[in-house]
Amino acid sequence: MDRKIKKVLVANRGEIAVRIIRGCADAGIKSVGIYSECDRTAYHARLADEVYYVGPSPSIESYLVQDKIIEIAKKSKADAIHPGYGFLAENAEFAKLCETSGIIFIGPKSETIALLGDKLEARKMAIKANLPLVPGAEFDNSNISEVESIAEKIGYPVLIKAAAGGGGKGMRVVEDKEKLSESIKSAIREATSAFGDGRVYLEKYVIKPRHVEIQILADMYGSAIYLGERECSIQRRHQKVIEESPCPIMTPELLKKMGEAAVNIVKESKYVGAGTVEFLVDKDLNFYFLEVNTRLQVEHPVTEMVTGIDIVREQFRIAEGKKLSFKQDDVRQNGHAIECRIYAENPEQGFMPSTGTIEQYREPSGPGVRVDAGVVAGSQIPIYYDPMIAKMVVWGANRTEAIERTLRALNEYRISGLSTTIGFASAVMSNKNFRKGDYATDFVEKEFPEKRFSCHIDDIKQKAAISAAVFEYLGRQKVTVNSPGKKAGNGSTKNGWSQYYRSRSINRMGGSR
Amino acid sequence: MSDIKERFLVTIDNTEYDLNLSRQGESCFVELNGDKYEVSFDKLSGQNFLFRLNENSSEINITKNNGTISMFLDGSEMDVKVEPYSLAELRKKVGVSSEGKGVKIVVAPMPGLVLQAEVKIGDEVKKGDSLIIVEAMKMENIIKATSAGTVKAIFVSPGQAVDKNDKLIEFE
Repeated sequence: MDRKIKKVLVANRGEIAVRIIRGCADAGIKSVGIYSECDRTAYHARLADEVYYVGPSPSIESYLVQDKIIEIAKKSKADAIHPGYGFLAENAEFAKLCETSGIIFIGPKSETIALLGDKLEARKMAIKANLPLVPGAEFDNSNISEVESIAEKIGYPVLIKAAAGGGGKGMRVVEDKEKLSESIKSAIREATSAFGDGRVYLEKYVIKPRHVEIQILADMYGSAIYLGERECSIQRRHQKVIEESPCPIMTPELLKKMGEAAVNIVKESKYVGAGTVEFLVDKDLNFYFLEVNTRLQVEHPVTEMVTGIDIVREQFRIAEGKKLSFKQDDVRQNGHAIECRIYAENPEQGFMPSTGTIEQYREPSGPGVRVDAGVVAGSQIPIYYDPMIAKMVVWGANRTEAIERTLRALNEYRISGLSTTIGFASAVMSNKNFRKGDYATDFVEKEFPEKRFSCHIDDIKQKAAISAAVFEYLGRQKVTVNSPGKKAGNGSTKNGWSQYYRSRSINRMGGSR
Repeated sequence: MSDIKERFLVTIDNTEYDLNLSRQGESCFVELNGDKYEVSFDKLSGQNFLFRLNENSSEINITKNNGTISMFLDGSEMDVKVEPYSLAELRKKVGVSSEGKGVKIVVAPMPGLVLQAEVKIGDEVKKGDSLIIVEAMKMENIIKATSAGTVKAIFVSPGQAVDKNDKLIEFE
């Protein structure tokens, strides 16, 4: 079974491709990158040891083209493919294609992905493994009148979820019958576009739950352990934006129960590799099985920061057929970690994606700060892919320290040229209830009903007004000073600003000739 | 050294700021609401500047386009309108609104792919009604009416790629 991995094709882009390429280098493994048309100069395509063009910009013609990726893997003599998350990460057909092509797929077996990736099948598996399920859940496909009666039976609000889903795509909360059919249609469209599978189902919408997940590792020999939990309740559009570990309300007893439940379903499904078992936790600390994500999660660094375990490295080891090198008792949670996902979005405008060029980019640094980014200064944010551009993960000896350090690091983070969620993350860190650890998945809507996320917005606006007036004033003065017939020699030409204007006017002249 | 004073009206969102600016030698001063600040601008790179307001430094990214300044400051993106005060006063007296009456043209807020139009020509819409669904970054974004009106023209069709600020819909 033991087979040394020497070269890995990273079938992804953005920050996760960068993360895996780094993991390869750390493990002494060569990396192969792939890039689409618009990712020609992307950061991941600069970092990998070898890179290959995979196709036009739309993901359906590039990062999702299975045959092409296998062909590149063969051509580059890669012995394994790491799919990252999204794209082909939870595609059983692709895992199968790797298996039949003699290439190691870094993840569970294709049958396991098929089984757990279908949320309906996963629920059956959870029942077999004795896991508690969300109450009143039922499922259906496309017959609208039937769906209406099922929704009625479950009781509103209901949650529409994509059977092939993940990352909040194809998910809708429906408050009443009127909005049901429109929401289902829209969810089907979104699910079809995102996963190529439009099946959706209904679940009882548990009000104010916390979203807590367990990271697991399982080897090929039936051993499985859990690496503690991650609290992922800070969400917008049902998609996580801020995660932390440990969960502020976790108790050793609850962690043991949830961890063992996670290990049970992993063993029941003969899971191999790194995975995540997601749960909802209600205010009385009851927990319900949600789904198993058969991939490396976006938020895996939070666990890496508190356990000191490099999960990507463990994925390589497991894929090589090695046994887990540590036992459950060896896993320790040390201190506290918080991850802020940095999205190219405008939080004040309902988190609308913001595309364009990153004009200025500077990451925070200093003690306890880790940034996994897929961008650098000058990067274009294309419309074709997910708007997440980076993750900032901060470690502190305890939760308070981690929050203060996160605020510090967010203040240092500079991105201009497009809107990001940096200010939003600061607003969350400064929020009284977040600081108390008292929050659930409704946090963003509840705490920021006006969608105003900057605590000092009036101060910032005033500063912006002053700077804009100064900018205009200095610009006008310079023009006046230099105009013929006016007094020359006024003001200073030494400051950086004047030189800027001079260089601009010189450029303009040069350009017009 | 001469001291050239100028008065400006700055508008951000709907907030107006009345500012008096002056220079004395190397220094530049701003008066706002009775407070006086010493300010300076230094170029960092490209359109990035270091702006000093008394003892406080901020990095600002500034882009000028058609009379408005778009800036990134302290993690916020803002569109700022700067006018000489006298001009702003004149504009107000004449009664010309810089904003226009209602939104006549709806433009794409970001680049993306038009999925479908939720309205047709002649439809009357209320504020908040869905107009057009644009997909960007694998997400559906519903463009909603910001005021009531009657649809006069629809400039896009499903499957069409649009750029930021491309016209989507015109109201009568």
